[in-house]
Amino acid sequence: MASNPQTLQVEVNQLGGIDERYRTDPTAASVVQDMTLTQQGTWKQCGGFRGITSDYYNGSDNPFPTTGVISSLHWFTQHNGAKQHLIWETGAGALRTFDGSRPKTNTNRPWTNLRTVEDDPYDASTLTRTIPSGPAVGTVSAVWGGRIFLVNGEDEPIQYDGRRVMRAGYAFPPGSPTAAATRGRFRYYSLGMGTVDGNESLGSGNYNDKTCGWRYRYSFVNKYGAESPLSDPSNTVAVRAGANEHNNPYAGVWLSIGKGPPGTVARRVYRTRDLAGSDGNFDNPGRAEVFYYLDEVRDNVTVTFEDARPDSLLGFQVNKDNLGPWPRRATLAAVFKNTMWLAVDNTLHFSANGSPEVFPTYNKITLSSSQGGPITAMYASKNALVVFQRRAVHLIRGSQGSGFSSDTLTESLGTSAHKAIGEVPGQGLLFASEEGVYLLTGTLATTAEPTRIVDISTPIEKTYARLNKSALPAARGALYRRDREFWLAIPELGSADNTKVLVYHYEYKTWSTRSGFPISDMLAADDHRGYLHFGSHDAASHPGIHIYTHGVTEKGDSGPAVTPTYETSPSVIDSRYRATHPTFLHVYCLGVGANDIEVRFRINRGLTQSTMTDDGDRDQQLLGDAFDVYGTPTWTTGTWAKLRPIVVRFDLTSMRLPPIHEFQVEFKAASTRVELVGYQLEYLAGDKRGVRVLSATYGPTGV
Amino acid sequence: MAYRYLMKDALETGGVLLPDDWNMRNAEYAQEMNGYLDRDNLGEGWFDTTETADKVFHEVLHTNWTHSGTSAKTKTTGANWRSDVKGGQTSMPSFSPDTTTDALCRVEFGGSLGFTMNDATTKIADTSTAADGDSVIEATFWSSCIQFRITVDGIEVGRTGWISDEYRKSSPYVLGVIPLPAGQHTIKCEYRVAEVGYRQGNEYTQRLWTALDASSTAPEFWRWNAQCILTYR
Repeated sequence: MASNPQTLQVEVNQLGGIDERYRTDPTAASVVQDMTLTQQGTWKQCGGFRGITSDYYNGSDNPFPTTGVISSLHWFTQHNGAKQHLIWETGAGALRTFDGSRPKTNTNRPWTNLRTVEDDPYDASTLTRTIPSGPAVGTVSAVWGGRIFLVNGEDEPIQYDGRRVMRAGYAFPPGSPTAAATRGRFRYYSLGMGTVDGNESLGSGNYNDKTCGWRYRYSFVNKYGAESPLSDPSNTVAVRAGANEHNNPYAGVWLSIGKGPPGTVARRVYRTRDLAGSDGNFDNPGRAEVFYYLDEVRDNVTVTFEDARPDSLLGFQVNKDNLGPWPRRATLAAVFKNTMWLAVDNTLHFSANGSPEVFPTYNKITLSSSQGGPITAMYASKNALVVFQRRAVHLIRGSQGSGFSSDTLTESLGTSAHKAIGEVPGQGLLFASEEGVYLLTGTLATTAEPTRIVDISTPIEKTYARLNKSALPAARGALYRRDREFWLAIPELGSADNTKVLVYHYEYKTWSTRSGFPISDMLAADDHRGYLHFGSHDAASHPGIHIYTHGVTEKGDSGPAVTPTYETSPSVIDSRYRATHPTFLHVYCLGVGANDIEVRFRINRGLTQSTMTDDGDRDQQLLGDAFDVYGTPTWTTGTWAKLRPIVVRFDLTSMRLPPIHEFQVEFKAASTRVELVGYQLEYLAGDKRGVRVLSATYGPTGV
Repeated sequence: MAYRYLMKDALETGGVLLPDDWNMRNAEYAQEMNGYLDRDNLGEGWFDTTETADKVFHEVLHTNWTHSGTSAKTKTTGANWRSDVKGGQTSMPSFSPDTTTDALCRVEFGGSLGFTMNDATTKIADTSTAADGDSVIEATFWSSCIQFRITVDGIEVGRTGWISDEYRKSSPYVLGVIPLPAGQHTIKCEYRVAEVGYRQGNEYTQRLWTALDASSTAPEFWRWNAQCILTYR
């Protein structure tokens, strides 16, 4: 039985994010560009960006030179966040910190080159950082207390305390000291050794007229208390203690020690107990390797040390294996469980408890996976340090007290994008692999909530397939809490630089994209402002450091405008196998003003779009009750307004169009502001074969 | 880093007049000024001394004393550091700053010091020679000495060497610098006395003053001057 065509309605109340699959939810979109998903559930235009100090001094002038890119960006705070430091490396190898108080001139820029404790500047001339020439993770930072540590696997590891740069830890032990018996009398006191009452000298007890022997070691100490590895032992010095203060011409030891590298503030001296037996022979080899704390030389100037301390006043026994150098060529650093972790090839080195610069000899974990390969990323999250290889994920768990251990979570996927990892609130650890974007969920501990890896990039598989896999280490990620977004900047196709931003709207678990953000490195500050900073790889058009903000509508100074675009997924209005005729489109959007909202239509997934209306544009105002807008009222006549959702109607026609099976709507703003809630489509559908013969209906009377 | 960006949507011609756009902008600036202003949005030279309150950046604590007939005599019993004196004063200079922010503390102490007895007859000559006849062993010559230091919360930040009675009058001076966290602190000037036997090089030994007549030979101050400069950060 044939039915007559009838007017039907479909309504989408909540516009979703991108879903590129052929069969998808009608609320999904095929394109969401330059838009953000608000807490109200609306899609509105995203922000633009501008130079960090662009109009702070002279309008749109950008103080950054157009000759170099920003290679890496770092941030840390001191004094409970009151003092903040934004640090970056330039493409030329300078290391700088932002100083917004400095006027911008050609010779006085709003930054300061970091300087070492010896006052040498990292200005790419006196001192130059090594900058990777291709896509790379680059310099990695880890914040410990009021210091930031920087490693890149090439240059010496450094730390910056907001004032000066100095080497992180020690690379080498001191040279071995030289000990010599000295003529001296140390009956009551010796140099700063405290009181020694009685007729005692170096040895404990009564050593009258006895030959004694000792060995020494020492270490460097920097101003944070980090201790270098112990030197090799000195020669064994023989001392003959006398019977009284006048006949013991060799009762003390002069020890020659070396000066430490810059940043050293003290030397710590250790000594054995008396090595000689009662017969004066050094036949007690077991003692020769056991050293005890003797004293600390509290400067880096003194090169001789006078020792007359008896064995009874020696301090704790030192274990040389508890002191170790900062591992060489560490490429990654992270802080976890009061411990500094460094990655060198496929081995993790971890520091002593509470001492980020001291790496005991046996504090290392070598990761093994079937494919092997270096450690490519690390992130301390919840109860584990998550360690990535290109095709593996490991969890480091435990503590200094109970010991750390490694568990392999998977050997099927991993990441090489160390700086594209971030914690998504309430969901897990997001990381970008070559195959997709994943969330590591669970508590990462042995609890009822299992640890799992979840693929969240299925809806944007086509877009993500454009990833330049060889340049994945250049990808960058940051959590932008203000808009509840995780930004993932990736290089596409053959580009070595990041060309697209994938935005994960984590509260709605959906995606959109942005382009035109030349992100070389990116971070969201963890302060009350939460600004998203990024360094630019486009020094010609957008040099320097930029801030993402809704307060501007351009992408960079004099850059292209933000162009919010939302195109729905191809929707089957009635039936994929039966044509329909759209008649009305009601757009439910916020009345943001007299600037038009533009709609275009795409039929049957075609290449081109159609207006299907008289012009496809309408004011974003309620007809008959328009609010005052900027540009027309005056202070005395205008009235403050408010934002409200309104319905904007478009009359449609499908004349000269092919039969419509699938239908997409694209929404854009003629200016910049637009805020979409949903839409409703009216259409004609149904069988048209119920034709009534005109002559039969209106035939001559009497027939 | 207090540079400030407007995070509210940009205004545009044709947009509806939304008071929140303005209120939120003002709020962002107000919130920033109420506690987050720092170097990065205050340009160099924007403020000069006429626009800053007293003791904003520095504070100087100072004390001095000049005898009026009675000197301040040190005490010579024991080997420990001490700050009590007798006579014109009862204690060496001290300060108890209560800082509301972190500060760099620079303390200095100087004075005019006299030894009542500097006659060689009061000194003890150690003329013993080594039993083995080693000529390196020298006779020591005990000198009555005094030494000064400055402590901040018990931490020694500066110390003089031994000042001997070989000169009738001396002018000790000691300077110490240390960072101070916010809070109350105790800064003290202290001394200790001993008999010190100097020998070749820088070697010396020391022993208690008790060998001498403590009361008659104690070093005494005729004036002193101490100050503490706090540079707030």
